[in-house]
Amino acid sequence: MRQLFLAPFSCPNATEQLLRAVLKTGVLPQEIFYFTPSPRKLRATQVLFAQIYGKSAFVPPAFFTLRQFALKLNSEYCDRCPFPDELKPLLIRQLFLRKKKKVTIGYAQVVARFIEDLKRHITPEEQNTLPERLKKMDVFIGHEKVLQRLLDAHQIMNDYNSALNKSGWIDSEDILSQAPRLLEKVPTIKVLIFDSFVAPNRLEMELITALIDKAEHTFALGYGTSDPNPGYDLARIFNDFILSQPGFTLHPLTFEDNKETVPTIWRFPTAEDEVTGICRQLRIQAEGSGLKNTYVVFPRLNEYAPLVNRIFRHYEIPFTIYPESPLSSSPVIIAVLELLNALNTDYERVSTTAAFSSPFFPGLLRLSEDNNAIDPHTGLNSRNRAARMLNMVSRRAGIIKGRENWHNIAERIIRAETLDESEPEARFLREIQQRVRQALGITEKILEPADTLGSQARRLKQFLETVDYGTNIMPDDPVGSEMVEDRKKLYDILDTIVEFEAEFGGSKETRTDFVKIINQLLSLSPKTSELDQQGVVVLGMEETLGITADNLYFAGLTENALPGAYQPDPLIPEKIRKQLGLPDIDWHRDWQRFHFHRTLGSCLNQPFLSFPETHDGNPVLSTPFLPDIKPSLDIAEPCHLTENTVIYSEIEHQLYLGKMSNVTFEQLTHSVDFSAEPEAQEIISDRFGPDSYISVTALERYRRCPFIFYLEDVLGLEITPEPEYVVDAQQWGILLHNIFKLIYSGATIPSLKEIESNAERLLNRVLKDAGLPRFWAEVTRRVFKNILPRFIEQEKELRKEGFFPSKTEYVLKGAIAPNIKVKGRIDRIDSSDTAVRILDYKTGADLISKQDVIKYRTYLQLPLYAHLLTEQAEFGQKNVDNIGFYHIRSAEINWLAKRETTVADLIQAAIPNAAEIVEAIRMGKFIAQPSKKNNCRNCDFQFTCGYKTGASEDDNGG
Amino acid sequence: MNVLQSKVVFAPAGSGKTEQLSERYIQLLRQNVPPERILTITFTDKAATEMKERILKKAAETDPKLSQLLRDNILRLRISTIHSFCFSLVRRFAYLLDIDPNPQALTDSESLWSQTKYDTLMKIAEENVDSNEYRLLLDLITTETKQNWDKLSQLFNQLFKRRIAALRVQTQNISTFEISELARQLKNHPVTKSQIENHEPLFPKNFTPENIELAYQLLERNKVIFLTQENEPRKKGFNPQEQKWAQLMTRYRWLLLNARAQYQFANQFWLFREIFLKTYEEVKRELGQVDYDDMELLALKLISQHDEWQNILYAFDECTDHILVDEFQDTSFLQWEIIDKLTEEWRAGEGAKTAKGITPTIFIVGDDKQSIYLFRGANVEVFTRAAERLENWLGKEKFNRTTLKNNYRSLPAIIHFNNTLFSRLMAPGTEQPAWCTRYAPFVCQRTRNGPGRVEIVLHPPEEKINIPESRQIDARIVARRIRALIDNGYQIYERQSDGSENPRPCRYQDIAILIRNRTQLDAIEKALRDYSIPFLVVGGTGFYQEAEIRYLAALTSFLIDPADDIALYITLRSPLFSIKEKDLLVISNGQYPAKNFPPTLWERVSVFATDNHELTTAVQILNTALSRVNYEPLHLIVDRILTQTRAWEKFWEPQRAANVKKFLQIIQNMELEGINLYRIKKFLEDSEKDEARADVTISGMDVVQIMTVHAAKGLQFPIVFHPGLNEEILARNSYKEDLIIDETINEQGIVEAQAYYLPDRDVRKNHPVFQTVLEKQIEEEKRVFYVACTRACDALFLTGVWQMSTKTDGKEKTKLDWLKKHLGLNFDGKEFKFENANIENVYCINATTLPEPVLPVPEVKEGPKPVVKKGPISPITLPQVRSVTRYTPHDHSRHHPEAIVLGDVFHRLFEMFSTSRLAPEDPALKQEIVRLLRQNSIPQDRLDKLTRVVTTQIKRITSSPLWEIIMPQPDSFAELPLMYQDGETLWNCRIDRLIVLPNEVRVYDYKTFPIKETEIPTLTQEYYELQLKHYAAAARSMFPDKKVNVYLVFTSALRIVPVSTEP
Ligand code: SF4
Repeated sequence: MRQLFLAPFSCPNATEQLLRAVLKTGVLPQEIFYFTPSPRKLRATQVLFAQIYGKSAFVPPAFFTLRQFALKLNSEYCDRCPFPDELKPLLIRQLFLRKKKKVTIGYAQVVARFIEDLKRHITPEEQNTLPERLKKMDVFIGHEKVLQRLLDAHQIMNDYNSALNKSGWIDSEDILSQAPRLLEKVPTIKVLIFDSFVAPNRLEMELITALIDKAEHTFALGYGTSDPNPGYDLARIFNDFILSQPGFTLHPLTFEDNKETVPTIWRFPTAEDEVTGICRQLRIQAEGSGLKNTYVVFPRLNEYAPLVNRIFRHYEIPFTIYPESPLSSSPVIIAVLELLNALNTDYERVSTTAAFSSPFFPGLLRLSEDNNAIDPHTGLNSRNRAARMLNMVSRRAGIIKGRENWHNIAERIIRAETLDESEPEARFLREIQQRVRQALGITEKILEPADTLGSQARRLKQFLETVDYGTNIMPDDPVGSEMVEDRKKLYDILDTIVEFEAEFGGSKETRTDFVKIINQLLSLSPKTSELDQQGVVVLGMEETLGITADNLYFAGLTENALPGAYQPDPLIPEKIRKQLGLPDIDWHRDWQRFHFHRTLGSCLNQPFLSFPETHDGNPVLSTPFLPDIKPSLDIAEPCHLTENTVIYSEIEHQLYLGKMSNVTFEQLTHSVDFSAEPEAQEIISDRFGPDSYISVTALERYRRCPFIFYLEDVLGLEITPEPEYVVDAQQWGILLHNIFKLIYSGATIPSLKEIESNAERLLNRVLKDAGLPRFWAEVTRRVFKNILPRFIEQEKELRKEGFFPSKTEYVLKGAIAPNIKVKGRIDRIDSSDTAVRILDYKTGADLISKQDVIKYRTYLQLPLYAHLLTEQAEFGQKNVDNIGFYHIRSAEINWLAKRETTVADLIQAAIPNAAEIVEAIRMGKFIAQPSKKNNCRNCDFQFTCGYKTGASEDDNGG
Repeated sequence: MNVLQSKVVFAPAGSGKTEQLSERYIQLLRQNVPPERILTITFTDKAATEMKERILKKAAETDPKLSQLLRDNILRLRISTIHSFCFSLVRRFAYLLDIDPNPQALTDSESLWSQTKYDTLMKIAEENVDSNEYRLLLDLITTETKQNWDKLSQLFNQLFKRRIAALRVQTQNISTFEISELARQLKNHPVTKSQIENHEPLFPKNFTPENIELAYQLLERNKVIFLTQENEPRKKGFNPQEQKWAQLMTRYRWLLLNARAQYQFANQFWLFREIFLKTYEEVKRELGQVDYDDMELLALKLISQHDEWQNILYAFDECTDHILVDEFQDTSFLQWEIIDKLTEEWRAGEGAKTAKGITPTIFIVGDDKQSIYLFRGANVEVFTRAAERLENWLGKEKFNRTTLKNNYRSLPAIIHFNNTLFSRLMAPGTEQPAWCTRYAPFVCQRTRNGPGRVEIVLHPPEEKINIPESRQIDARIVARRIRALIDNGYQIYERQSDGSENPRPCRYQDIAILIRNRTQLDAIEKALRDYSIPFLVVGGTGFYQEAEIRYLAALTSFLIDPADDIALYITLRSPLFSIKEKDLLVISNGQYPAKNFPPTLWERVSVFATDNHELTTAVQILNTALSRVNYEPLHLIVDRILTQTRAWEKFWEPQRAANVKKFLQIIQNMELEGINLYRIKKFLEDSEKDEARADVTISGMDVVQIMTVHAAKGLQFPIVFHPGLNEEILARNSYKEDLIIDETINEQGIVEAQAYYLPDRDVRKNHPVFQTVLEKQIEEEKRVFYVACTRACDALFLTGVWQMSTKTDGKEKTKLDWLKKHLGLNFDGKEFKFENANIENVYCINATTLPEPVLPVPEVKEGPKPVVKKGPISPITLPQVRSVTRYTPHDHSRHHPEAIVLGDVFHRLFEMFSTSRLAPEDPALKQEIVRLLRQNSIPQDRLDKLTRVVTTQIKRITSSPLWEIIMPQPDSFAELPLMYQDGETLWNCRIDRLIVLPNEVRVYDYKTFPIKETEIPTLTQEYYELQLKHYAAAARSMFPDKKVNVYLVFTSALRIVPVSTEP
C-alpha cells in the first residue's frame, strides 16, 4: 500500500490520522520505520504514538530523521568515520595552504558551503562535469575572475574528497549519499512512514526512494490543499516527488476549522513591551483556560530569548526555552578565550585579570602553601580572595599591559606610593605578586607564541589540565552541569584539532589565527541543553515544524525577521545558483513563508500575533507575509501598560506603588551632613580633633570637594581609576622634580657654574634610578637640556636679589589657631640675611594666583606654611618676604604676593579659611560642592553625589 | 513624471519631498523595472524604513498586483542608508579586500585606536633606534621644555577622528615666498636697524626648518619691541613709520609661526598616516574586524580599485539601473564619490546598458537649506556641484532640474515670515562661494484655514545677566506662553485622512520645543515643571549620566569586582539599599583583623554588619548575588536585586523605568557576545561613552516634546517654540578648532583635501582657512535656524532676552542680531517692533506684558484601584520523551573519554555476539574492533593498543560465567529498545540484555569500566540505581505476569551483581 496524505496547515491532527491509518493495517510497532525532518517532531510523535497505541510499555517503532538513519547505517556497515561538519572549513583552509594560498577561515567556510551545496543538490556526474558546464556559460564572458574562483573552489572540492577518502573519514553528505547502497544489507521494512517533509534535497530524495523500494507499505504525509496560499509553494516539492514514485494514491485530509475570524495583530512600541504584553496575556489565559499546550514562537528566537528569560520570570510564568546561544558566550569558555587574548596582547590588563582570577582556573594564583581553609570573614579561601583583589591591585599598579609590569605588580605600587615594607599592606601586596608570578610561570611554560595548530591545541589542553580547569564546578548544579558540558566541548575541539593535524598535517600559525580558529569552531558548535519541558514552550519558528498547539503566541513578526535578510553567496552569483538548481533568494523566502503559514495554521485557538514597532529607536515594519492571510489585515493599536487596571507582576506592582507615592528621584539623592549627629562627629574627631595634626593638603582636598574628601579621608575608601593608554606626562614631572631636589641637596650651595657642570651627572643618576628605557631617557635628557639654561638664568636672578637656597624638603607642624594643628612640607626655602622666601616646585601647567587664596579660597599651603615658619625658632627672626611657585617646565617663578597684596594679607586670608574648613569637617559637613565645576569632569560621582553639574557647554545639537 | 529622465529636485521644507521620491519609485516599477535594479539611498535607517513603508502602502492602495510583486520581492528591495549599502557590498566582496567574509563591525574603534597608538609608540621607542620614525618622534615630543607626547597624541586623535579625510590629504610643499619677501624688506628696514640689535639671524635667506626655528626663537625674545601684550602691533610711543614697521613685524611673526607649525605638522602628519594609522589598519585586519566608520571608504576602495565587483553585480545580480537619493544635502564628499562611481559607467552614455535599451537614471532630492550635518562631514557644496556635473554629463534632454516652491505644511503667517527673513538672511552675493546658502521663497498652499501666527517674544534687556540666568528667563517665557496657549485653547487645524482640516483647541502633544543644544535643557525642564506642563525629552542623550543608570552601573561593577569600594559605596547609598551614611562611617572606623589587610569596604561591611538590620539585609542580598556571578547571567542577577530591593518603586517615572530596562538589555547583549565581566565593568566605568536615553513612546501621551533641531529634522508640529534667540551662534569651541581639513571638489569632480594644523591662537585667528571655517559654521547656523522655523504648521514662537548689542566687530553674533539686521527688530524701551518689515500676523511681544498664568490646582485623580493578581503560576508538566542514557553524568566525570569509547565498543560487540552476527573466535573480530574504534574517532596511533585491550578482555569474558549471559540463546534480546509511560513522561530505554525465562525475566546491564570491589555497593545503590529502576519498570510493564530481576554485569571485574529494584 502506498499512500500520500495531504494536510492543510490548519489540520490539527494530521500525524494522528496518519498513525491511526498505519495501525489499522495491524502492523506491530516494532515493524514500523518512522521518518520526519526534525528531532523535535520526532519526540512529539513518540509521545503521540504511545498515546494512540495505548499500552504502557512496548517495543517502539524505529524513529529516525534521515540523517540519524544514515549515520546509523554508516556506523553499522561502514569503515569510515564521520567527519565533523565544523571542521570542514579547517580542512579546506589546509587544502588551500597546500596550494600555497592562504585564505581566511571565513572564506574557507564559504567554500565549504559551496561543496555542501553541490553535494546536496547536484548529482555526482553533474558535479564532475560542472567546470565544463560553467565554462560554457556566456554569462561569464568578461568575468573570468569569477569563473576562475568557482573553478578553484571546484578543484578544492576534489582535493577535499580525496583527502577525506585517503584518511578514512566521511562527511555528512557522503554518509547520506551512501545510505541507499548500505540499505541493501538491511532486512525488508514492513511499514514506512514519512511525516511532514517539505522540500527534501537530492540526497534525501534518493534515500527516500531507496527506503520506499525496501518497504512493503509506505505512508507519507505532506502539506497541501487547493488553497492558493503561497505558503504551500515549497511543500509541493515533496508531494510531487512522492507522487512521482509508482503506486501512490492521494488522500486529502479534511477537518473543520473553527477559527472563523482572521486574527488581530498587535503592535507594541518595543520588543520589551511586546514580551511584556504576551506575559500579561498569558496570565489572563492562565486564569481562564490554563496554560496547557501553549507555545510562544518567534521567527528569530535568539533575539528574543534574553527578553523572554527575564520578563517571563517577572510574571512568574513557568516556561521552557530552547535558545541556541553560542558556546563562546559560556563563562567557562570566555575564561579560556581571555587567557589566549592576554597572551596575544602582551598581558593586557583586563584580559589578564579575567584569566588569572577566573574561578574556573583554580590552579592559577595558587601557592604551594595554600590550603583550602576558608577565611571566616570573607568566606573565601586565600587563592580566591587574592583573585578577587587582582583587578583593583593591578589598577593601582597602573598596569596597562606588559609581562614585566605584572611580574613586579607589588613593587610598582610600593614604589609609587612609597609604602613601608613592614606594613601589612605591603606584605599583602607581595603575596599577590607571588601569586601572579606563579600564574605567569605556568602560563609561559606551556604556551608558545607560534606553532602548528595541533601543538597549540595540545599545549592549551595541557595548560588547562594543569590549572585544574573547571574541576571545581559543581556538576549537580543545573548551570554547573551545563558548564561541565561546555568544558567537555572545548576539550573535544582541542582534541579534534590535534587529531586533525595528525591526519592532514599542519604548519606554523600565529596565536591570533589559533584563537580565530578556536572561536570559529566554538561558534559552530551550539550549546545544547536537554531540559525538562514544563509550562509554556518558547520556540523558534522553524523548530515548530510538525507541532500542533492549543494556544499560539506568534511574536516578533517584523519585516527584518520575516523574511530574514538573505546573504548572497559571495562565490556563486545568484543567477548561476538558480541555473544549477541550488537554493536561491526565492527559495529562502519561500522557506520562511512556508514556516510562517505552517506555524500560523498549527494552533487550535485563535493565535495571538504581534510585532514591535521599533528596534533601537528606529521604526520597523511588520512582515510582508501578513497580507497573505488577508490583504487588509487589522493591526491593533499599540498596547500601553499604563491603561491596565490589573497588576500581574511584582514589578508592575512596585511601579504602581511608586507612581502613587509620587516621590521623584531628585528627592532621593542625599548629601552627607552629620551636623545633627553627635555620634558621627565623635568618630570624625578621632582623626580630625584638636589633638591631631591635619595635613594642609587634606584641607585643600576638602575645599576641592568635601564629599570626595569624606570618601577618601574619612571613610578611607580606595579610589583607583582605570589606567589609561597614555604615557604619563606626570612621570617626567617627577623626574625633573627629583633633579631639582638633588641640585640643592648637598651641604653647600653650588655656584651657578657648578650647577651647570653637575647637571649632566645628576640627570644620569636620576635616570638610572628611574630605570627608564632608552627612548624615554633620551626624551627626559632633551627636555631637561631645554630647561637648564632658563633655570640657571632664574637662579641668577634670585641670587642677584640676595636670596640663596637654604632648606629643601622642610617638614613643619604647628597650630594656626587654638585647637587647630596642621602639618605640611615645603619644597624649598631661600633666605637672605633678613628674610626668607618659600618656593614650591610645580610641574603641572596650572597657575595658582592670589585670588585662589583670597577670593576662591581653594589654596592654603604656602600662606599657612609662611605663618608656621615665622613661629619656627630657626626662622623666627626673618620675615617671609614672598611665597611662590617655581614652575619647573618654564623655570619661571610666579610670586603670590604681588602689587598691593602682601604675604601677611595672604596669611590673613588663609587662616580663617582653614579654620572654617576644620570646623566644617568636625561638624561632619561633607556636602558635594566642588570649588570649581571642572573638578567634576572625571569624577566617579557625577550625577550621584547630588551636585548638579549640568550638561557640558560644548555640545552640538546633533 | 518622466521617469526616464535624470533629475535633481530642490525640495524645500514642507514641499512633499518624500512623496516625490516614492512616486518616482512606483513609476519605475510600473515601467517594469525590476525592484533590484533600483537603488534608493536615504540618510537614516529610519527614513529608509519609512520610505519602504510608504512605497508598500501606496502600492497596496492603488495596485494589488504591484503590491504582490513588491511583497514577493521584499528581499530584493534596495532601500537603505548609504552605510548599509556599503556594508553589504563590503561583506559580499570581502575576499577582494582580503578580509573575512563575515567581518565583525568594530563598534569601539576609539579604544582599539588608543591601544594601537600606545603599542605603536612603545614599539617605536623600543625597537628602531635608527629609524626615521624614532628620530622624528623624539624630535616632535621634545621641542619644548616639556615632554610633548600628550600634545602629539591629541593631534593624532583629532586626525584619527577625521582619518577618512586625512587619507586624501595631499602633502604639499610649504611655500616660503611671502615670508622671504617680507624678510628681505624688513632686514633693510631702517626701523629694524634702530630697534633690534643683531637682527641679521632674524631674517635668514633660506627658510629651512632649522632657520625658521632659530629666527622664531630670536623673534620671541624681541617681540615686546613691536607687540603689545595682546599680541597686537604696537602703536603706543611709535611714530607712523614705526607703527607701519610694527605691523610688518607682526605679520612677519605670524608667517614664521605659521611656517614653523606647517613644517612640524608635515612631520606629525607623516608619522600619523604612515606609521600609526597604518598599524591600526593592520591590527584591525588581523582581528578580522571592519571599522564602522570606514565602511564607506572600504566600499569606495572596492568599487574604484576592483573592477570585479561591478562586473559581478552588473552581469549577474543587482545591476543598478536607477539611483534615487533622498536628503542629498546631507551627503558627504565620500558618499558622493561612491554614488558618482556607481553611475560612472553608464553616465558615459555608452556601455552595455544603453546597448540593451535601458536608460539608466539618477534622481536626487534634497534641500540645501536643510543641510545641518556639517559636523558629521555632510557638505552642502556637494549638492550644487552634483547638480552641475549631472547636467554637464547628461545634457539637457536627459536631465532636468526642478525647484519645488509649494509649501503644504505651514499657515500663511509662518510662510511670510520665513520668506521675508530667510530671503534676506540667505542672500549671498553672486561672487560668494558655493557653500553659501541661497533661499528660494515658498508659495503657501494652506490658505483655506486661519492665518497662523508667529510671535517673537522677548524679555527686555537686563543689566549684567549671565548665560544661565538668561536661559532661565527665556525658559519661563516659553513655559508661560505654553500655559496660556493651553489654557486659552489656542486653535489649531488637524489634518484629516481625506486631506481636509478640522479646527480644534491645541493640546500639549501639539507643541514642540526645539532647542539648539542641550545646555538649554535644564532651564527649560525646570520652567515647565514649575508651570505644571507635562513634557518628554525626545532622543535625549546622556543615558549613562542618568542617576538610576549610575546606581545600576555601580551595582553591576560591584558584583563583578567586590573589591571596588566606590562601586559598593554608591550601591549601598543608592535608593536600592538606602543605607544610612552614619552606619558606613561607623564601619569605616571599626578595627579589622590585620591579617586580612587591606580590607575592602565589602569585607568590612560583611564583618561589621551584624547588628544592623538594613545592612545585614543588604549584605545578604549582595552575598547571594555574588555567589551566583559566573554561574548565571549577570543581568538576571541585577534584575532580581531590583525586585528584591523594591527599586522599581523608586524608578517608577516612565523615562527612568525605561532606562533601567535598557540598561539590563545592554548588559545582556554584552554577555551574549561573550564579553568578559571585567571588560563589561571597564565599559561601564568609561565616562566618555555616549548613549541615547531609552525611548519612551510618545504616542498616546499628552506631553510637550522637547528635542534638538537636529532631531526634529523631517518632522513637523502644529506649534513650535524655538528659544535662545540671544544665544551665541558659534559654539565657543568653534574657536578652538585647531585641526582643519578642508575638502573641496575640483573641476574634474575629484575630491581634494588640505590639512592645516593651527595650534597657536595667534596664527589661527588670522588664518584665512580658519576664517572660512567659521563662516561655514555661520552658514550652517542659518540653516539650523531655517529648519527650526520651518517645522511649524500653525504657530511659531521665537523667544529670548533682548540684548542691546553684542557686536564688537560688525558681525552678527546671535539670531537676535540677524533679526535686528534683516527685519529691523528694535526695542524702544517699552515695545519691540520690526522697523523694516511688515508681515501680517507676526507679532513682537514684550514678555513682561504677558499676563502671569494662573496655575491649575493639581487634581487628585481617583482612578480605579487596580486588582493585584501577581504570584507564581503552578508549574505544568508537559508530555515529553526522555531517554535513559547508557552513561550517567557520573560516568563522564569519573572516566576518561577513551574509556567511554571502549564501553561503546564492548556494548556493540556483545550485541553482535548475542545476535550471532559475530563470534568471539571469528577471525573477523579484530577487524571489527578496529572499525568500531575508528568509528568513534580513535586516532591511528592508539588503535593497536586499544584493539589489544579489547581482544584480551573478550578472551577473559568468554571463559567466564558472563559468557552464559552474552552468548546467543532463545527468548533473549540484545540492545532491546523499550518505551514505557510514567506519568506525563515517556521513557525511552535500551536494555543491554534481556532473557525471558518461564516465570522470570532477567534484565542485565553491562558496565565496562574497571572498578574496585569496594565500589560495588555505591555503584549499585547510588550511581546506577535510577537507571536500573527505569529498566525494571519498563520490563515489568512489558511482562506484567513475570517476575523481573535486574543484574549489573561488571565486565572488567567479571562480576554479576543482582540489584533490588522493587518499586
Ligand atoms: S561630581 Fe563634583 S561635586 Fe560631585 S563628588 Fe565629584 S567633584 Fe564633588
